[in-house]
Amino acid sequence: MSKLEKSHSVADATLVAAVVAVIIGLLAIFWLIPEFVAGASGAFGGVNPGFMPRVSAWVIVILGLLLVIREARVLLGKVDPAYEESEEGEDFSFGKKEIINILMLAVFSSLYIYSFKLLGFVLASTVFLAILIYISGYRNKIVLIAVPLCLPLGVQQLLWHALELPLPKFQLIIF
Amino acid sequence: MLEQLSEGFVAAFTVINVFFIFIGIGVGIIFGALPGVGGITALSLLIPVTFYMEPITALAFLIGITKGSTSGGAIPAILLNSPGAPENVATARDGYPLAKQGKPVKAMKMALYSSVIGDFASDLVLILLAAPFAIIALKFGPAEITAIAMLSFTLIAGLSSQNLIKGLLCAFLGVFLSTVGLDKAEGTQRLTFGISDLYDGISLNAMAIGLLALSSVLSQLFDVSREKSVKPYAMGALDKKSQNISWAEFKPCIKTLFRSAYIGTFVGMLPGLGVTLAAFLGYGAAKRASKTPEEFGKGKLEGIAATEAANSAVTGANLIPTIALGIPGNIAAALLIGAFMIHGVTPGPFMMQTDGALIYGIFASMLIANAVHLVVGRFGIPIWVLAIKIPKPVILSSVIVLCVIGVYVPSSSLFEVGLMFAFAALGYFMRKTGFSLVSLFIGFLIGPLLEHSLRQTIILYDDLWILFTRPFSLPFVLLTIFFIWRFGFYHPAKERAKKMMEPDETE
Repeated sequence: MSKLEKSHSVADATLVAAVVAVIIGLLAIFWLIPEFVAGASGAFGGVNPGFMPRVSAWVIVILGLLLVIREARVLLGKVDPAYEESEEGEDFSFGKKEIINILMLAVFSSLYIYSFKLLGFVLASTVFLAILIYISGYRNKIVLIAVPLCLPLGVQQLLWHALELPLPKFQLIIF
Repeated sequence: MLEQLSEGFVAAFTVINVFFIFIGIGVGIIFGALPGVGGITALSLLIPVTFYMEPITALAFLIGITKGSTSGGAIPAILLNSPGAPENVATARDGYPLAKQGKPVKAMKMALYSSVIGDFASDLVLILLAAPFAIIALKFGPAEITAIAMLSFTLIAGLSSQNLIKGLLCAFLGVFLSTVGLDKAEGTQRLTFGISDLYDGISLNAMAIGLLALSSVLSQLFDVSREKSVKPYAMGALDKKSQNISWAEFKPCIKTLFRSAYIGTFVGMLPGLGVTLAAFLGYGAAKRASKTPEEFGKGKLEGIAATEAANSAVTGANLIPTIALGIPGNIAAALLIGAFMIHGVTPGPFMMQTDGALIYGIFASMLIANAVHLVVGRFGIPIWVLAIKIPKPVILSSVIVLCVIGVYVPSSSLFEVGLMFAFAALGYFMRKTGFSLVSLFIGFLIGPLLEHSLRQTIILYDDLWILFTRPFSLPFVLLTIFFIWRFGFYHPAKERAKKMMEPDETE
């Protein structure tokens, strides 16, 4: 992707994020805060538990709108996109690949948490560590077996014997 | 002050404390040296481990990690030409060429000595200035604290993000998230949705690890299969004599070391300016002041000294606004504030009064840590060299498991583990689109302070006009307005004008 294309993809993603921020801000002001903040409509000079959530939500809405206007002007070609550089050397771009990555993260993390509960820490982590190392392209067989086997077990034993902290266990196998 | 410091040394110089300082420095150097990991990940992961320690030991351990990780980042910069963190980029400019000349250990030693000297200078400034700053800060009322918080948001948003609006949006999102939980004034539930795990608010641990550590690791893991693996400089059989730094080689670097330590300390005192800026300012100043600037970038020891002294000098100075005002200057200081709070210490101007013994104990631990850093860093060189040979996919995947442990162990809550992954996804999105993670995290951290001071201001004075009329708050408000103009209007206009003068980009 060229610099310009990357800047446009970031502008697209920023526009979406800004719209989402405005929607969430408005939802917070008109529904979340009145519904889920106890005492939000109570009077105490206006300074009640809902005060700071409202202030921050309004600021988010206003800044979100400013960002929407700015990015919309970029996408309509009225203003050049600002080429931003990451201090951490990250590549700024947000497209299909990044969306797929986030979806993969959502699926894998849900499966991991579910199996953590069902299978215990050691078994769940061994399987996931092996899968993670494999799909990241590293294929050394010894490392693929040794690290997933040793690391979770080592951590579990260290936490138990040094700090007496138990981790969830798979009931059929006691380590 | 001397008396308090000597009492601090008595409290800090215990076997357990020194042992954990050793461990902290060692862990910090390893995490700093491991590609893709870094000091912030180490801090985020290990703060939960300190739950079971005494406050002074816990904070000494974490400060050891911070110090170690800053110098640890120089090791891959020198051996791989791949800096451990952005603040070590300038180290690679002279470190890697020096390694290619067959003197990698010399380069690593220079980086270590410079780090320790920069750290020491900065710690002295912290010890001298923290108490006077705190005394001035005690005169601040709610209006002043509100004004300072707003200035901090603006500075951090403007400096950490290249778009002020994005930075401020993130900061106020952090403030909004900080309101989740029980209202401290009235004890009523806010945005908990009936979930008991949220009664105490969003877990700082889950947010820190998810947003700062896990999102970085995942971002790299998603890209790692596409990266070419970098071969480290082959250490092989080295000429031992040429690895030592003679006095004749060290002497010309002394001025540079002091200049860089001064630059790093000054940058560290101001919230938001960042370690990377200090490193580049130090390198640039050394090059301009040198009689042989053409030698920079070709293996000049002064280049390494300038960068490492400057970036390490930020650490101690950064704690000045942290201790005096409770406002962190950067992410590491923000995480340390989290650690302070976990151990029942509220950073801010009252800290010197209520926990003065602890603070001076921490100051003493920092000075002890500098000596330990020298020893551990020097004799651990063979270990650090081994550590960077571990393949990146293995390191990154293992860190994910450690992140889960770091969140699960203190809380035994899978809800918090889920929250961590959610913040990791948010952090990944923010990294890819230029939204500032630092602003979000600092907004979350000082949101309660802002809320408390803003509510008090309104209750006491009925309106916010008081911010413009009180003599201590007015300068901060004016500075906030100035920086909003500077980052929000002046810089973007300057960038647009610069771009108009550049030729059109063609693919």
